[in-house]
Amino acid sequence: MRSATIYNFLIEANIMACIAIVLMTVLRRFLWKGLGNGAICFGWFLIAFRLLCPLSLTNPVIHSIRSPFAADAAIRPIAGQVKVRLNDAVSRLSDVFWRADNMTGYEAVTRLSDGIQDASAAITLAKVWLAGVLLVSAWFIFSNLRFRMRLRADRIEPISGELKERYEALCRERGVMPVPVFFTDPLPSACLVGVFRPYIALPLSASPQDAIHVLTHEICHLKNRDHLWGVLRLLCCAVHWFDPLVWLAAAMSRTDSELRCDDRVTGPMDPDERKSYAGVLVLSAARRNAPGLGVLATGMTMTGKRLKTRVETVMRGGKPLRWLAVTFTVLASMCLVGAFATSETKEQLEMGVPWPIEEHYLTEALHGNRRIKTESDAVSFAKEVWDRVRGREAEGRFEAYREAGSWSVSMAEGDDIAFYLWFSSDGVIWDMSQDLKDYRWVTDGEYIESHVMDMEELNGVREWTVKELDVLVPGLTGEIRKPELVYVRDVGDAKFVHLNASPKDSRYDAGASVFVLFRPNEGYTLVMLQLAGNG
Amino acid sequence: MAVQVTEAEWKIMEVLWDHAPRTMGEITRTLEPETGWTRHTVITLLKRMTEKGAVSVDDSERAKLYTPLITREEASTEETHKFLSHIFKGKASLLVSHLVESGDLSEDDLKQILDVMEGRKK
Repeated sequence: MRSATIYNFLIEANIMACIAIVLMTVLRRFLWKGLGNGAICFGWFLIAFRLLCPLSLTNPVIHSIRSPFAADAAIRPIAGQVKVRLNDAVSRLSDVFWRADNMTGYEAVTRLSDGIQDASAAITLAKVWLAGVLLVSAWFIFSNLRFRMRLRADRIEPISGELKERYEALCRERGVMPVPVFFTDPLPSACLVGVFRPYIALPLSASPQDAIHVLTHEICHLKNRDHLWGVLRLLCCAVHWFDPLVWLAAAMSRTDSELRCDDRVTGPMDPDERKSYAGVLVLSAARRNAPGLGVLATGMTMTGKRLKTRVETVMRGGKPLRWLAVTFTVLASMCLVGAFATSETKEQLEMGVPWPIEEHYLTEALHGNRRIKTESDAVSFAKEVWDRVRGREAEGRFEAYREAGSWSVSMAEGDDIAFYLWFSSDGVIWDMSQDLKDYRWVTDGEYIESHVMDMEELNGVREWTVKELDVLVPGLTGEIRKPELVYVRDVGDAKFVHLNASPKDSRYDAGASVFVLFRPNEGYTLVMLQLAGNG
Repeated sequence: MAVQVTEAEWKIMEVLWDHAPRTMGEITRTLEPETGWTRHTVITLLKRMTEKGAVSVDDSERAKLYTPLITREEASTEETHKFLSHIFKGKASLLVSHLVESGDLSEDDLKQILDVMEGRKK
C-alpha cells in the first residue's frame, strides 16, 4: 500500500470527522433535549463510519481545489492542499532560521521540506502512525484482558430464583435474547461485558429492587448493541490515536449511549419508579471507578455535573421533538455522503496532472558550499554562471524568485528570456538553459537528426562537458558515469549534441542531461543542463 | 497490613460483629431476607474473607465456625482512609473543613475533635 493511500484516508477522514465532531458537540450542548439521545447516538455512529471507512466517492467539483503544486495524482485534492500548506509553512520556517543565521535549524527544516517534496517524510509518518495504531491497540487489548480476568476472578455465581425469572421476563418484554448474568464482588457498577459472548456482571451488593433497575438498563444496552458499538469506538481511537477530538467524541458517545438507555428504561416508569432509578444512579456514583474508555464494558457510573444532568433528565422524563430528530437524521446522512465525496473523475486526473514528482534526482547527492540568502546573492550567483557559460557580460534584466529551499533566476533581454537558472540555496545548479531563440532550429525541426558522430569529435565534446560540469556543479562528475551520446542534430556547420550521463547510484531515477552546441572552428557552448529530470 | 473489606463482605462482618462465632448456615439465614443471597454466595465470600485474614475458621466442629479477625473500628478506619483518598485526596483536614462549611459540624463537635487531636499529640 502506498503511503499516499494512508495519507489520503487519514487526512480526509480526520478533517471531515473533526468538523462533524465540533458540530455535534454544539448540537449536543444546545439541542440535546429536542433531538433526543437516540438521534445524537446516530450522529456519533455516522462520524465513526466516516472515521473507519476508506471509501472515496467521485466528486466533479473537488478538482477545483487541487493545488497546482500537488501534481501527484495519487494524492487527492484535499490531502494535496494540506501537503502544500504544510510545505509553505515549512518554507517560511526555513526562511526564519536562515535570517536568524541558525544553520542547524535551517538544515533540519530544509531536510523536512525535501522530505515533504519527495514523500520520504510521508513514509516516515506512515510508519509512526502504524506504530501508534499497534501500541494503542495493544493497550486496549491488555486493558480488556486485565478487566475480564479481574471480573472472572471476582465472579460469585449466576443469578437464580426470583431475580432470574424477573430478568428473563424483562428480556422477553424488550425482545432481547437473555445473556448470562453473574453476581460479582467487588464491582462498583453493573456492566455488560464482552463482544461475541456478552454477559452482565451485577454487583453482589445491589439490593433486589436495585438489581432489577440495573438489569433493565443493561438489557437496553444489549438491545442497542452497545457492546458492538464499543468495538467501533475503540477502533476509531486506535486508528486515529493522534487526534484528541476523536478521543473526546468516543467519551461523549459513551455517555450518550448511557443516557439513551436511561431514556428507554425510564420511558414507561411512573414518578416513584423514576426516583428509585435515580437513587441507583447516585449510589453508583458514590462508588466511582467505572470501567475506563479503553475497556469494552458499559458502566452506569457518572459523577459531577453529568450525574446532575442525568438525574434531572430521569426525573423530568419527556420525549424529543420528532420532527427535529428526523430532520437531523436526514441532514446528517446527507452530510455523510458528502464527506466521502473526495475523488476526482478519471478525465480530470488525466487532464490535470503532469508527470509524477516522486522520483529521486541526482540533486539529492550534491551539496554546495555557497550561502545564497537574499535575492541579490541569487542574482550575483546567476551572473557568475552566465559569465562562465556565455563568455560575455549580461546585458539583460535579472529577476530572482525564492522557492522552497531553492532559487530560480531569469535574465530577460528585451521581451525574451535569454537565460534561466534553477539552483539550491547552497549553490548547486539543478537546471540551466540559454535562450533557445538563438538555437530555434532545435525545436522548429530545421535540422538533420543524426546518431552518428565522429569519434574524435564526440570524445572532445565529452571531455569538455566533464570539465565544464566539474566547475559549474562541484561534485557532480563524481556521481555520474561517462556521458553517452543520445542524439546529434546537424545544422549547417554546427552540431547540437545531447548527452546523458547516468548516475552511478541506481537509486536515482535520472542523471545529468547536457545539451552542447559544437562548432568545429569556434568551440563549445553549454546550452542546457538538467539534473532535476531527464531532458 | 490493613484488610480491605468489600461492600458485600461488610454485610457478613456486621453479622459476625453482632454475634460470633457463627456457622455459614446461620449467616446465610440472617442475610437472606435482606440480600437474597444463596449459600453458595455466602460460602464464596467467607472463603475470600478467610484468605485475606478478615475472618478465621474453626473446623474442629461438624459445622465450621467463623469469627471476625478485625474489629469494627479497624474496618471503619480503613474505609475512612479509602473514602478520604477518593474524595479528599487523603487529607482529613479537607473533610473537616467541608463538614464545617456545609454546616454538618457544629462548634462543639469541632472543639471535641481538636481536644482529641491535642490529646493524641501529648
